[in-house]
Amino acid sequence: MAGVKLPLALAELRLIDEYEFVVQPRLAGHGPTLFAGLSKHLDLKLVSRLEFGSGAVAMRYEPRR
Amino acid sequence: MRPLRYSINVTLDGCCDHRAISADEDLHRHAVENLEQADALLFGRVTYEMMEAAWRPPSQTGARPDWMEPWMEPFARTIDAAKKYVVSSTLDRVDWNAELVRGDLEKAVPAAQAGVGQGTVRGWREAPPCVGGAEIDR
Repeated sequence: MAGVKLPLALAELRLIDEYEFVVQPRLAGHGPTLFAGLSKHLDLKLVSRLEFGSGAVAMRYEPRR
Repeated sequence: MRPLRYSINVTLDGCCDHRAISADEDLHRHAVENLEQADALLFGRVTYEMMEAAWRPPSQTGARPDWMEPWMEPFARTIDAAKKYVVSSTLDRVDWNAELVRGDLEKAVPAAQAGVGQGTVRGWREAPPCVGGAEIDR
């Protein structure tokens, strides 16, 4: 399983300038979930969206400053 | 400072375990486009080791592993060639075109971003055969 610690630490420190979530058309039924444990919510602004034939959707966001 | 871009594959219910994700040819192409825009990749130790195990060419033969489809080769080549930064306090050395990032992330990550000159660091968590991580972008 890929690590989840570094992205959480980077998000906590507000070091990430753009977040891309490539959302897969699947329900896993289990975790781990992203950014679990983030101490304070982070609001994002959608900057682009790309759909794939599989039904996956890549969405890019920037933090609202 | 070059932007730090994070990219992750995630299921609709928020699971980011790469084993829950299957990346097809389109997603590989998208990942390659992301990687090509990046001047360096930033990984945590776990993801770096997973990527290295999956995508670093065998030093002797250079042969493609059995599981690797021909359409995975551009991703394999691109990630192999990319400059990588690895956040780890336990690894002694990394040698897949990589440098260790140690200490306070708040200082060390911007230093890595500055170090890539013209580019961006992308945070990557892309796992075989799925995709995820951070990048330092152009």
